[in-house]
Amino acid sequence: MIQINNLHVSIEGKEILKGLNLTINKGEVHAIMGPNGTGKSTLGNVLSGKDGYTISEGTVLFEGIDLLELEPEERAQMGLFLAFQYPVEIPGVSNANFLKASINEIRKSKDLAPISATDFLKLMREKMELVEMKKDFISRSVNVGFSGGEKKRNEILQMAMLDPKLAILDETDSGLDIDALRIVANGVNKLRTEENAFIIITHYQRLLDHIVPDFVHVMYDGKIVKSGDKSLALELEEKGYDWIKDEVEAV
Amino acid sequence: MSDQNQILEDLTSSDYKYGFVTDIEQEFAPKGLTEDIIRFISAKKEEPEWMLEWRLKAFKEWLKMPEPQWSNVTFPKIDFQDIIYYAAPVQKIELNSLDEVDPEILKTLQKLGISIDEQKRLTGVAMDIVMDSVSVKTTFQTSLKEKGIIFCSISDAIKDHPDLVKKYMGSVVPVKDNYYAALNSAVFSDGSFCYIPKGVRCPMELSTYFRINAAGTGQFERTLLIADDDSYVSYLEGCTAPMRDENQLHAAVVELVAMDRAEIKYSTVQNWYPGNKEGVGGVYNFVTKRGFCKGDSSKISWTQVETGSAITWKYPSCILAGDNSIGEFYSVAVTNNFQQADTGTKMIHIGKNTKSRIVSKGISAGKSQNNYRGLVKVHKKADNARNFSQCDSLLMGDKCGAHTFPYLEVNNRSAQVEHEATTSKISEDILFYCKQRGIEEEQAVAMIVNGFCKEVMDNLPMEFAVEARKLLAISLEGSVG
Amino acid sequence: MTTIIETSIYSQTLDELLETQQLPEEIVQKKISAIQKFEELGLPSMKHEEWKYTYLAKVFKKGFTPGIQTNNNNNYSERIKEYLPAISSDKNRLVIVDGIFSKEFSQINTSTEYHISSLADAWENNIQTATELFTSITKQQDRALTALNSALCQDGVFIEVADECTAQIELLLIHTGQMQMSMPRILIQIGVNGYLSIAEQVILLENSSFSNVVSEIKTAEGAMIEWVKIQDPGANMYHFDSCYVQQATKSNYHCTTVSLSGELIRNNQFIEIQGENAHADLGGISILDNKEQTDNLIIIRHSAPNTTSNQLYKNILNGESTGVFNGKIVVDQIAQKTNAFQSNKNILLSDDAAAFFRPQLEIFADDVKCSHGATSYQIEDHELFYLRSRGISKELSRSLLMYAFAADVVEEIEDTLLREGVKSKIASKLKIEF
Repeated sequence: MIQINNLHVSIEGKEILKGLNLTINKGEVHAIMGPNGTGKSTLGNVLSGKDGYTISEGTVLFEGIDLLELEPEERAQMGLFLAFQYPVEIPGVSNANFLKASINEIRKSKDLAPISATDFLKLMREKMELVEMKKDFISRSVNVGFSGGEKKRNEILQMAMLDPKLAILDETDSGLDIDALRIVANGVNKLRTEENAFIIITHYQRLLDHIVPDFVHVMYDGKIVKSGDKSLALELEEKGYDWIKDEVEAV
Repeated sequence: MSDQNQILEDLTSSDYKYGFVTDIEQEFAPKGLTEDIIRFISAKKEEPEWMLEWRLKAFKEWLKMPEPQWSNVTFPKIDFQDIIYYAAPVQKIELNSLDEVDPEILKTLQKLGISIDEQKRLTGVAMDIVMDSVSVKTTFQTSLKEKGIIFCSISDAIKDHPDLVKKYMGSVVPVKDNYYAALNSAVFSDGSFCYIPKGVRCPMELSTYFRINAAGTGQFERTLLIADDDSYVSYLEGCTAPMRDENQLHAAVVELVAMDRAEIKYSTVQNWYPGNKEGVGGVYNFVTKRGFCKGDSSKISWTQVETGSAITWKYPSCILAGDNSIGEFYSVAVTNNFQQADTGTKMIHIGKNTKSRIVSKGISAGKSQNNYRGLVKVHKKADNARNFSQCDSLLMGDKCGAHTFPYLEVNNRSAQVEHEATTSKISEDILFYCKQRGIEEEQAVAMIVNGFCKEVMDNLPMEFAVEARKLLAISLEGSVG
Repeated sequence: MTTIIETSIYSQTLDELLETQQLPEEIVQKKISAIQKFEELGLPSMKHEEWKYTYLAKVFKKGFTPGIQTNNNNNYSERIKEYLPAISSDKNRLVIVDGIFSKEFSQINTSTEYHISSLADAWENNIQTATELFTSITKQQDRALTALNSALCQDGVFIEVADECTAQIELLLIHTGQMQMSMPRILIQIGVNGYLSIAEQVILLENSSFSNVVSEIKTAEGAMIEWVKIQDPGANMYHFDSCYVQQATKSNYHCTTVSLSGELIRNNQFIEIQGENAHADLGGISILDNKEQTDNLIIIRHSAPNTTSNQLYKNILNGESTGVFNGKIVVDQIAQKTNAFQSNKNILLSDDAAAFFRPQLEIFADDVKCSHGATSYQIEDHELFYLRSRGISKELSRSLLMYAFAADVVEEIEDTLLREGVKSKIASKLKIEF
């Protein structure tokens, strides 16, 4: 699905990613862990096309297409989704209107007619159940007055509505209480298929108790320095990151 | 609440501590303003012909101009013919060392808490002292000279550095700029002049102390400060006046020029006599201060602590002409009794990527009126201009007023201009919190006021900050411990 | 601070008016003193603090004629009807064409709850309130346009809502565009706990027109008024609107102005909060292009303790358009515990657009919370990125964010239908289809 090859990225002259390699096939869930400031969020932002990053080296192929050449909306239209760590508030624009705009733009890119109002509402109700959203949510403005947990659940709802091929969850678990965490994890698990893939960026093991990854990668100093299966996450939880740092620095 | 009012009432009983008169021999010009008076002043100062012509031209312009009406202050009409435009301490000989300064003047300075002796030398402050419009003594001239820095009275500069004076005087504040600037241009008697050559960081704080002493006089000093490429200077000015039951006029002009990458930091602690509790007497402080960020990446920073004067009317401003230039204005204005202040700044963004920051803190007590008036203008070509303004007012007592009049004019789409203002009284919650922790009300009020002003005070040079805090305390005595 | 213009034409118009219209003596006297005041004041120049960014004399020199208007616009009947969709018979619709109340197009339900009529009728029928109210809130007439309206208004609307009663009104100010000056007057009195809602639209049929509307609103205790003004007359309209409001105890005045086009629109709100626990809420959004200009002047005076006010004004400026906001909060010494907030936000979309803003505070009481904020900025990149990452094109993302910026102002409109109607107008102005 996606091949990241020797990716070097800097921001304002400072190199953040220093030769990152990662290949993800459909049907896989990859967790990326690592201490603060190692470039995890940068990876998510660069993949979805945020401005302000300089890519000095490397390639990213998404379904065989050079992803780095595309505008953010083109990437989204191809099926790439980023669940934001800090979602934006859009006063006055209801969740329904926002998602309708999003779905219709994606459909337009595929030469499909706009979704009918009834189909849309049906879809929205169905997906809202998935993340246990109250009914009035449809007419509320995007993220305005939402609690931290509600914002994150809204990200998962949007993901469910847009049905992406590759979803990147950027610290979706941060700031969530146990219930919200369960709701978010449930949502992701129900959306998991043989055809899509997930990148889950997180600090902690606890989300991975609910969403079981196929692969766990540890990022340090702009690179993936260690990969393994889900047991690696448990090991990190137990021992912290210092031993990884020691290992890397010893080399 | 009534306790607090009592405390606030008490503060109006504080007295002006600098209200003594120095008994020294003075030389006066006759009262009033005519062409002859200007010729008299110019002749007294042995000025070259070009300077006299400049003054006379300014006088002609002044005669044509109407008195400004627009500021939010009220005062009886000034009789410009009832003012003495030149008063000077008589000094018989040219002074070469401190020992030769009139002992009465030295005593004055001591009473003001200013020492121009060894101690000051150690702390590294070079001083120019202007009493009744005449520069009395400039210290440290020799050590500054070694670095190529010129720091002298403007009278000396006119004689010794005519090219610099001719080039820059009136270049930032044109003669016709406003009524009081024109008046000053015609009659200014002295002031300070400073030139920092290319690449020089001035090793010490430069300082001018202004004192109005003689009765019935106006003080019209003029300051010109030029920082050449890559230079830096920090300049301080302090002002006091005796207690008199008449109003004295102070109409100064300050011009700053910063060339490429130069930085000027200009700090003022203004404590002219504010008048008595009934609002009788006090200085009318009508000052034009303007900085010209002429060079790229230049920076001018104004910091002012205004506690004195019956009426203050001044807007230290920055013209940000050079690309990437920066202007700053930090101000604390305290008004008490019947004082009126109308102060603020103008930030004119002309160059690209220019930045400005305005932090104004007004404290009103007694029956005073405190106004902030400011303009932020972003010209069409000033791409990426940034401005942030914060104007906060603190009201102490229910008979005073606090007013905010900002003008924001944005003609460029990439500009980001942000203005915030608040008006409030000392929070009951904070007071209660402090009291619950065993802090006396007065102490708590003092803490809150100091906290309110902190951002501005932090910008003052160390020695000045101490003095400014003391002044703040005196101005609000009774509520500020 | 004034500009000299030829004023004799206006006093001639008044002479003509007094000859043709039967008015109570009290009104005649008020009109005569108003024209004198206007002649004395002259037109404000740009040195006048309230007119720093709008050159009024220039508008007066465009040749608009102040002559007596008649309801003689049969030629325009069909065009006017286009703006009058069918409404149910229990609704009130007031239509003013070129400053004159149109009986033909208006629909008024008689009710014991309120009295609604044309102002000319109210005066002709000697309704005491209509006579007394006139100039009782504009008082000194110390503003030229107000004095001019007082002198030359022929007609307008008179609304009186009884105690504990409700009235809802659709108000259309239609201008046929024959270079005439229209000067309708709107007089409103609301009884104790009364409620009035007005949905107003300003319309220009063709060519160019000048209008100078003055409203006087007097509230009794606990009265509430909600007024939504939609100003979308197209280019070539010069529209001046002044609301003078006097608020009693516990009253609530809520006015939202949506300016979507117009060569020059000036909105004045002069609000006197005179009773305790009263609240004023003012919002405005201008979305402008070409050489259009809106100029909002808001003066709220708090003259009683425990009162609150809120101002939120926004501009989206494209082309060579100009947005002016001049807002002043005055807190009298007696008005302790006042809470007053003021916010002005601008987005400039073009290099030739300009925003001038002056948020002012004049505070004479110490136990108050007053603040204002004003900004000029661009749409944030991270917001744009969020929308684009959801597959929405850059262009639509920008429009949506501008819509969000604008919709914020109208979100406070209580009437759901009205609010959604306004929002969809804003959306279509920004070329968004939901």
